[in-house]
Amino acid sequence: MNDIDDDAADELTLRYRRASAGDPSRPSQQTREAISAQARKVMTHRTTRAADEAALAQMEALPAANDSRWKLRAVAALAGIGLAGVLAVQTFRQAPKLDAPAARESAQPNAPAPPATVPAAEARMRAVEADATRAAQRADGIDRPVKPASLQKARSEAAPVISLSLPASAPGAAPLPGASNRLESVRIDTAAVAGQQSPAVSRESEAPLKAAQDAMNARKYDEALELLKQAQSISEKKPYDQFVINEFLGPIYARQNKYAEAYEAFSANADSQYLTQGKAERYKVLATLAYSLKNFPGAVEWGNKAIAAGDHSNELQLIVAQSYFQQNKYREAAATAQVLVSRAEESGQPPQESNLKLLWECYHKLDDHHAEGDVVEKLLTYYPKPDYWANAMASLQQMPNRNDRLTLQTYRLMQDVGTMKRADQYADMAQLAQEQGFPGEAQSVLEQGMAKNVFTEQRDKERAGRLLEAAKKLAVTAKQSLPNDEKAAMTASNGEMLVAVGSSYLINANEPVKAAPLINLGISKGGVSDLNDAYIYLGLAQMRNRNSVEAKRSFQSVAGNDAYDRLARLWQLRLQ
Amino acid sequence: MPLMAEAADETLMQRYARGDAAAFDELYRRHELKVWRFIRRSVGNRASADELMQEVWFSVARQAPRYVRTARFTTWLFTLARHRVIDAHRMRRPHDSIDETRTHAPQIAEQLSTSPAENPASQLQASQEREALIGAVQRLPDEQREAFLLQAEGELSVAEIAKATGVNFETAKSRLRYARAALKTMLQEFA
Repeated sequence: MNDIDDDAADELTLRYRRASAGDPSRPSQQTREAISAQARKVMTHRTTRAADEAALAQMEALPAANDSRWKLRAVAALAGIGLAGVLAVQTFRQAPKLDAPAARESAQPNAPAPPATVPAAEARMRAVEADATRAAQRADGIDRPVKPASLQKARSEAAPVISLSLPASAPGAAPLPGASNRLESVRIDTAAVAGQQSPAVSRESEAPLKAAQDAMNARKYDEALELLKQAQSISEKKPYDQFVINEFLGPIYARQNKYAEAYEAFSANADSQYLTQGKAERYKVLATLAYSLKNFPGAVEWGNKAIAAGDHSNELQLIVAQSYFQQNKYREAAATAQVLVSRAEESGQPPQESNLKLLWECYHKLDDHHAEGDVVEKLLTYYPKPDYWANAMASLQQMPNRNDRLTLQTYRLMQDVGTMKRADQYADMAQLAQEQGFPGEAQSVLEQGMAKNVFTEQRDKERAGRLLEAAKKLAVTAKQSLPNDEKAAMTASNGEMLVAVGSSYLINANEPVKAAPLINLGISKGGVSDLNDAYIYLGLAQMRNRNSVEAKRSFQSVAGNDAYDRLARLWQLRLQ
Repeated sequence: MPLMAEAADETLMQRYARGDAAAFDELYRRHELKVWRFIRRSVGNRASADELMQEVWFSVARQAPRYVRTARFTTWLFTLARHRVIDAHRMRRPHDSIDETRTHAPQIAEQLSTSPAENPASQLQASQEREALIGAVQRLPDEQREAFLLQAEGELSVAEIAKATGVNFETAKSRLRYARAALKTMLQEFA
């Protein structure tokens, strides 16, 4: 009996619709407004982008226009990345000429050379910045204080090597999966900048800074902070004084778990000309602090700077990936997480499961089902858990361009990995098997379903029983006809029938030894309408013959259809 | 140019893609409740349904320029909604297959047998029947509920359900049959 002869709504559907009409449930007003607003926003963005692209195309046609754009970008970059440098230049321009010209050369600030990995535009900006600084000094005749021995000694004491350990996250901050619980020890070597070749603190600041250092060493942080405030309030203080104050403030605040203040102090000096060493480490500290403070844009900014400055640690990469993710920038998060995965694979190590899961989540958010499936495959490769198989099968079932042959092949894999559970799946597989000439398989599937008591409804039991009876009869006939079919297939003009007979030997008669050469011969003979399906059968036969190498080769021959490709790759994983 | 209310859904999509915001409003008005109920019945949770509703319509807005009329708009729209629902299930239990997300809640008939509705007023009975029916739909296994809702809410044909869910015609038909049988069993109290 067939309940659904056409698409007309039956009485039950009409009852449901009546019930639904009386259901007062509606989307919230907020949702409605958000949808309406988004529709307009997307439309406006689309229109604007089209206009921008048209304008850009026009500009790109003109070399001079191109040059102007670079200059505009340079100005923008200067405003962003070179702010500290610009401020320093301005300060130097205002500095009084108090010192002897003899000290000039040694006192020149060292504009940091752009790291090799810094993008070209940024490198250019840094060069511009350094040139500007030097030009300003030349023009203004800036001098540096004379360095008497007593002052030099005081400076050395006031500029200690600070070792700082920070917890990876502040209380209440989101944890960093996979990250270590502690930041690695960070050394901020202010002695390097306060050495013989470096600028000095002013006479006015010297006393409070020295006292602050003593208080710090004695772990009297409140007292140290008070002294630093005194130094801060000195009106005649110089940029280098402020630099040293910040260098002290950062670690003190960090030790007091005042991460926001620590972040402010560390970031104030991060791009300072006086910090000539340990830039990458400083950026990394800032990225970690920013992440802990849930300042995800900051974490991304500093993290990327640290990477550009040469920090290629996985910990930092993960911070950046997570920070992108937290800002719903899934494409960037995926690209960053992918680096972690690739890095592990290139070094012959399995990627961390948590990193793969992060990548999976990104692609999931991006609706990139194909990439999502790829990640699940990797998870299965490195962490072959039943749960991942279930997801892989779900992903495979959702792939487009499916047909009945592929559906049956998918059920076979589901059966193999143990993710087939429901009555309708068993019934559907049996039905498909029967339709495609595999009554032996239909029989076997139904018997398994019955043994597992998946058919609980009386109607299902009866239907499965009827299907089983029919399958049993057809299975006997199918087996008996195999030798004759084989003879006929051998003389056929193409390989189609050989593949069919070989598949029947494999599936109906469970004779993989006979099946493999027949399918192989069929493929070689040519004219096979569904070559991918044939290669799957061949791979399965070889697999059952425990010929993994050949099976792998057959599965690898599948091509040109995403769903079949995926299926073949998943079968290859079963070979491992 | 036809009036907005007369224009086909597909035409409205094209108009929106060309910058006509009113066309989107009309599309939304036409399909709001159907999509909402499909999602709401599928995920159960109101907050999640609101979120998914936004995602579906955001996608409609985003994909409008790429929308190609290869099938009815409703088929495309409900396919989109279905994907979001599947995503939501997977998000909720990321290690479960969509096939494993069906609930095993007690049968609605069992619940009703212990409810104080033995002598209800007719209005109350109607209300309870509505709740029972909607509750029963929500308790169907995912694939059966999906097929049923695509037909009952989306007004999709069996062939369109098969296309939207990526299965063959017979499977779609079989899921509908299972869904109806299960609903009838669950609703015996109201027969």
